[in-house]
Amino acid sequence: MDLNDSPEEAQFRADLRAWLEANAPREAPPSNPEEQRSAIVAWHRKLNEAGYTGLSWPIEVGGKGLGPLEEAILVQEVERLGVSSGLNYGFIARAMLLFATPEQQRRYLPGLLSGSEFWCQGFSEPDAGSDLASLRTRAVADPTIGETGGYRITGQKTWTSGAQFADLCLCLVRTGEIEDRHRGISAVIIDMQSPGIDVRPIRTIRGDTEFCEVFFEGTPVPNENLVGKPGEGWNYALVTLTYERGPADIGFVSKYLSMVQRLRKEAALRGLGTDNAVQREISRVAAGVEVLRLHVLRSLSMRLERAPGAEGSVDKLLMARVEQDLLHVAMDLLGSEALVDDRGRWFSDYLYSRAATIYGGSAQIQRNVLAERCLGLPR
Amino acid sequence: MHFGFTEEQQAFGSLARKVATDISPASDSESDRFQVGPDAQKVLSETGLLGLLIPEDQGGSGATLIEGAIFAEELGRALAPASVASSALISPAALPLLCDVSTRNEVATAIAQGQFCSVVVGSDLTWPPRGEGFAWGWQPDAIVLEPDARGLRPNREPKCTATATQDLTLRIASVGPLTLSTDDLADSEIAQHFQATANVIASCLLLGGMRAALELAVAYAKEREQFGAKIGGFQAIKHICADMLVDVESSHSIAYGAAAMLTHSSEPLTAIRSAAIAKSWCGDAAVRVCESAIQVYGGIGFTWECPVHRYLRSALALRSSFMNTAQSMDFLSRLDQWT
Repeated sequence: MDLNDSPEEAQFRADLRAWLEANAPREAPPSNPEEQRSAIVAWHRKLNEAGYTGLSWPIEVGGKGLGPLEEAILVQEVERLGVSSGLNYGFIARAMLLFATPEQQRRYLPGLLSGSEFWCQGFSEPDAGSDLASLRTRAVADPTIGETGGYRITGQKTWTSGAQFADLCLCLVRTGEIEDRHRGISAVIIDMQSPGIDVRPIRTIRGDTEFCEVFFEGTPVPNENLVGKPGEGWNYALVTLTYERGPADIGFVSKYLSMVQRLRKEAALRGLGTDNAVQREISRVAAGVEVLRLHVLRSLSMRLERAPGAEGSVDKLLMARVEQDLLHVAMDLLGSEALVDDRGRWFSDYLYSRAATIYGGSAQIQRNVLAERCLGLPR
Repeated sequence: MHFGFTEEQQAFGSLARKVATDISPASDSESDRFQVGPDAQKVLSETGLLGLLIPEDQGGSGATLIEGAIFAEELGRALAPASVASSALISPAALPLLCDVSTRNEVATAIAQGQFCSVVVGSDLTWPPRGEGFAWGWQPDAIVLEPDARGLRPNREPKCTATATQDLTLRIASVGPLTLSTDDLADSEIAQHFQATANVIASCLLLGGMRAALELAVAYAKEREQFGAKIGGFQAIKHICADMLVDVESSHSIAYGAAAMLTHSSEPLTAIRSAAIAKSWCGDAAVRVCESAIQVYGGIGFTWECPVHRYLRSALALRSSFMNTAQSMDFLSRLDQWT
């Protein structure tokens, strides 16, 4: 048990730092979402040209053949500079690496690597949130589509992050009967330029538009866009979701660390730098961030030995607890100031923290997963 | 970076579990849980575990703090007498505070040969002590490490008045009013390192206890029926147990993470900071987990017969010991101001 970098990891980190020193963007990210997005894309392309994308992908498909630790080092080092780690398609790429055919990998992986194609993930529906297996977006076989036939997709997806920019959508659809529950679900890749697609951004409680509703009305999808076998989409979705936890979590830790430091500064600015009660509260959340950091390192280390599983729900619940606690302390410290002038973005971040116990599987679903799959309590 | 146990450490964990169980009074034994009886002393001397952290040239095993942490977790799980952790894991870390090298070697060799040893804390169980001194995890014939003008000194024939505590595994012994101020001591680097080690050991004792309490509650929830169903199938119970698991696993991460940092890190202050965090996090988590376990048991959890209250008592005492939650928060505030 040694948390220091191995010599190879230390070398990787040193090379990366030197490269970032010369190449990382110095200007603050733009506030306009469109400009922000193009800045991230430009940065992603720069990372790709320097060989810092697809670190954990196999070499045969254009990756670097490294592991989750190198990916975590990348995320850690770029976040340390307050820079984004580029487009995060880690789990979509994982689904493609695990389940797509070699032809599909040749077609889609290069675009994921270079950032030339944007992806979104069509899982949730208005009536299928926590109960994802009840999804009802239909895929009806139609032999007239493409050269070998295909499906016509009709239905509605929601909470689809980035759908307004996406070229492609990895989408769960029902090829079987609704009574088949999870057994009748398949995964398809939908070209977002296809006919019969309507994307409507949803305004969040922060007032921005991070995600969308997506409507499909007879949208054609050729058979070659089916990922894996028909009826096995549910399994793919579950495996893909476990990969949402991983190297990217280190990025949250870095973000929270810098928030705690900013919080100490905000306290000092208000003459509370030596106020015991205030400092204890900030220390309490700082402690939570350190616990999360070590827990994420432990999960990454386990990733080298086996595929991620249900225990990832501990990471998710812990992360949500730390984030919400931190923003509560921030709102208590700033009082009404944050409501009048949100230059520090504390109010905006506070509102965003309410999603931490909802997105990627609500806290209640995560608790069910832990109770049933880790503790063996009855279903 | 590697955050996991080697095969040797896993094997050591199995041995430590067996020894910890063997030296602990039977679970239904009510009194004398603090006492290490002759049979237990025999087990300890045969396995040489009291000398786990004593260097090999002084007759010990020369193991690292990571093995120490593993042993502590098993002692906590078994509700072993606190004097074992005190002698085998906490006192050896205090030896660098003994001014005289030859005395230091003598005490180390004595511990490796099975001598019990106890560090003096204050009446609030924290270190460094103020006011009246108490030997933590005392047991008859223990050497007491008490404050001296320049650090600590061993007292081989202390005039002690033993007191039971609400923690059935822990006995403390008053050594009377302390004449010397130990406040200056606290800021030295060796003192901080001792305190960090004590924090990690206490964190792992807490971890073992909360893991046991979680396992007991989950086993009961799988067995107990109400409304014609196992109560573990109800979401109200499931969610309590899941939150307990988050507390237990996050405590494992910070406790062993801090142990690894103290063992290998090139940044001592960062490691000491994490050890203080481990102590506060594991202390609060253990109390929460034990309280939740009582809730899952319902009325049975409120009885003396149900073992959970023993873990709760131990958790409360350990949470207060060496560095309590408020002290670790203040310590963190000071450290973070400097950096």
